[in-house]
Amino acid sequence: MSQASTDTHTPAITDESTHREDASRLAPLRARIDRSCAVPCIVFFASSLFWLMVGTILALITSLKMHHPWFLADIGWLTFGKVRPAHLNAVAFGWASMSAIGVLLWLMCRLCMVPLRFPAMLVIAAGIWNVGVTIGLVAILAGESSGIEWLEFPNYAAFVLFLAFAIISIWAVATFAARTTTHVYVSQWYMFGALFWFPWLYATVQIFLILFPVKGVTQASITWWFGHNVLGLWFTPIGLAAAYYLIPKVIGRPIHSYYLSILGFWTLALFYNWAGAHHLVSGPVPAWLVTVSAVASMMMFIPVTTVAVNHHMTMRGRFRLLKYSPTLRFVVFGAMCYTFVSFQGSLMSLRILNEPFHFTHHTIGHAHLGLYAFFTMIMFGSMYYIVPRLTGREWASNNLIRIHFWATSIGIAGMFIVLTIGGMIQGFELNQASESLSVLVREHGLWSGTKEFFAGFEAQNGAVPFLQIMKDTIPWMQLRSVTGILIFIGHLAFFILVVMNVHAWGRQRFGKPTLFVDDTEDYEKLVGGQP
Amino acid sequence: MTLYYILVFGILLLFGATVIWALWWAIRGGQFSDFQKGATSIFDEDEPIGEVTDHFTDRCEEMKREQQAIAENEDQEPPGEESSAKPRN
Repeated sequence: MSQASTDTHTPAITDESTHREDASRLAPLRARIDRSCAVPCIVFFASSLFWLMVGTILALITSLKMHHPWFLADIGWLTFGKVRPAHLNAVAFGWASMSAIGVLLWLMCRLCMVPLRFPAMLVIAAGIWNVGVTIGLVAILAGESSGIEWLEFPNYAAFVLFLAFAIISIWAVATFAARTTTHVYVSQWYMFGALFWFPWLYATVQIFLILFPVKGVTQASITWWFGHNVLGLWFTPIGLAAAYYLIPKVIGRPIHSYYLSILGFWTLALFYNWAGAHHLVSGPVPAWLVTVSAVASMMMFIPVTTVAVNHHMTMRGRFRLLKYSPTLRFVVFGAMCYTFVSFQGSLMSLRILNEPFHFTHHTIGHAHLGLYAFFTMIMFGSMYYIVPRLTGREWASNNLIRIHFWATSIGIAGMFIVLTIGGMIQGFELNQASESLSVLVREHGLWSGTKEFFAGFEAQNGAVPFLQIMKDTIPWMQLRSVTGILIFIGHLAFFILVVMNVHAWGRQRFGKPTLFVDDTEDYEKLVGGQP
Repeated sequence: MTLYYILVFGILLLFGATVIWALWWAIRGGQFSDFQKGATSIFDEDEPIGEVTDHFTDRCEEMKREQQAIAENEDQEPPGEESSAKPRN
């Protein structure tokens, strides 16, 4: 067969022979693979959860300062200009990246059908990554931030992260070379894409902005080429890789159109990285650069639609299963938000929609929709599937799972709504509104005042005093803090669940359905030792 | 300045070549020759198609009934409903 001849490293097991083996051989293999991933994955997941809690607390401080600026104001370490980038980097490079790597390790082993090798190497990488994030965050709070969005870690911290990443990339290539499957599943394409793109992005931006810095237009363009691509070529592929594996695996139904999924991967690779300049619309950059980014952003409708169609058609007729599976809830929520945030982003790159929304809270709402409602929720769902298979223990409390889901989903939905509305008001008032919304509402009542606000547009830039605009956004900032507290509660619930699972606190729970075995004895026989 | 040109165009060529190589490797290795096999490759006899692999532990019975209801609905549809959506290569 032509497949076997191209891969000199692949042993003789093809997909056909795997199907002919009986189930009793496959379960132990899967158990062995899952168990082999346990230590490195749990180290990454535990670290990511720690950073999630740190990042959420930093987020709450940041959010409170937006409407209570005297909150902790006499602590120099926690001024807004420091605590906001600290929050961003803690959740992006602490929580999101480390949970992404944890998921990637397990998923790569599962799809290559090989147990995880060199776990010590990966644990060291996790340690190095944690050191890097710690140094970076302390540096930001000490005032050493680089001032470049998404790249606030000073370059000594960034270099540490790079070292850890190199170890993980080498591991991934070694594992792939040792795979026993001939077919490369779409999730593996996405994961390798992410591992390939991220070092390129990070190294390039370090070279061009930190080591041999460029200035002016070039600096801004490269900043946002990097910032945008970190989202779409590092986080997005891993989120999609997880969704493409977990949705079919949980519901027991293959992806609706595998062809569409491959098409989606290659069109993402082709179009995504042109779109970075849409962060600079109306900025002092060449107009063609912005137009190119708008075109690429609109072309992103293609991969995003393929993903949306695929997931929807796979789930069609199975939406009732959302009631029964925690993994499915989080992953489907995340996948739907991926579609939503991408469509929103594509539209916002058009100049006419960018004008009222740029530099407003609307953008922050969009950012959270992407990194939280899409990526973080999919990471939660993945961890709900993966962690019991690593530890051999069920989750301690179904109610805590439900609290986690509802608190975070309502929290992020609420956050997105309040930031979008607040951002719209802010944007319209900054641009062309002739009168502040609060003044109109006071004069004409809520409904007529709002209508008057959106209808009464004249080209009167600066008609509303800036201080008034700021005051108009305060109620929305307060509501955002409320949604943030809700999200924090959800995170606490999840933190408790993971700690209890990893430490085996609470009643020992084994058995179906999350696990494939019926009781402890079977499991011990399968993995040949204590669970 | 020369350094920037070398870096930018060098990386462009390098990565472009890698992407083209990856596509060529995939096509030559038959990765795109059977999409149906690709979609079903994550299932096997131990975790077959049709079996739900995750749910709340306090909803076991309900879930089994749900799974049976879905399976019965599928039986009534014409066979190969999912594969008929895209022609096999």
